[in-house]
Amino acid sequence: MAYDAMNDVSDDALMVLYANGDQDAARSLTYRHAPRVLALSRRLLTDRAEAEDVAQDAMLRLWKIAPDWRQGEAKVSTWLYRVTGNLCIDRMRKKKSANLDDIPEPADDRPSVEARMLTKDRAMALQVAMAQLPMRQRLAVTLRHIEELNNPQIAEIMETSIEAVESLTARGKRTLAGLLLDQKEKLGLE
Amino acid sequence: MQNKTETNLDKGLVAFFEAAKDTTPAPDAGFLEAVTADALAQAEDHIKTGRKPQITGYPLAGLLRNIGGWPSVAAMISCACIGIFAGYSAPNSLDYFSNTEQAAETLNDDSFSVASDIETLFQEG
Repeated sequence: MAYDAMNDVSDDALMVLYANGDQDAARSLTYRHAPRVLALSRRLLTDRAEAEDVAQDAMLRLWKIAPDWRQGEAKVSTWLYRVTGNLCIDRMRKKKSANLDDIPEPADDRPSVEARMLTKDRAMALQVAMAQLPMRQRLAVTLRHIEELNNPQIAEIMETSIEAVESLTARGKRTLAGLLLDQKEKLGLE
Repeated sequence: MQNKTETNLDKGLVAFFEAAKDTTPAPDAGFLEAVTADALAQAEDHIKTGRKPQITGYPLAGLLRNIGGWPSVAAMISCACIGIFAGYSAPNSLDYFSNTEQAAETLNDDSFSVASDIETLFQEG
């Protein structure tokens, strides 16, 4: 069975197939989950190569655990978000703090007439501001407002309470607002 | 008050979050190939070491989970025991009422003479 014919197959079933040596299941799981794992690590880490390392590492852990995967106990996506978040936090702890010099600054006086450029500039401004948040706030805000997960899901991923998630996102957004709102005019938002 | 503040914050930041969503980095083919290669290499290791997927502990695990786990099973067993007990230990009062004439005498109730009235009706046509 080709992996693109496995769109309707559940993650749990794919994990069993993969653990039994099905190569199409491996490809299907990769194309289903690796992009979002990479997207999360790219948002949490400033360095692209490092983000790819983390995403690959998270996926490798999934492959390793496949024979022991307990069906129905956790969602693969939740498990991967948790592993990716923890790996990113570990990396950041090792580096002590984010090196803001690694992040390309948004252009100051570029004439942002095209919407596409404006979008890119806003995304970059957000990335720079996010890098200044503590890691858990960054993770909570990213999962809530960019990955669009709900608070109970985030609480499960971060292994904390829903109230703690609400607190983390609220504090994160307050900091982001302080950093970004004075750039709104420059970014075509006022 | 806090909710209003949060809503204003969300409004101020929504354009930035939307921009981030619109510029979600797409993985390149090399990355996906590397992840797939890891998967296939790991699968070979699983086969070599004879590691097989778990079939969820025991056969009825799914059913057990769906009915609410062991507490539900305990409740059902309790109800079954009560039912069996009630079935086997017929109370004396039931023996007493099984004899309708005796019951009728005891209760002095016309309802127990209905049967004989119907018989009379059939006989009389």
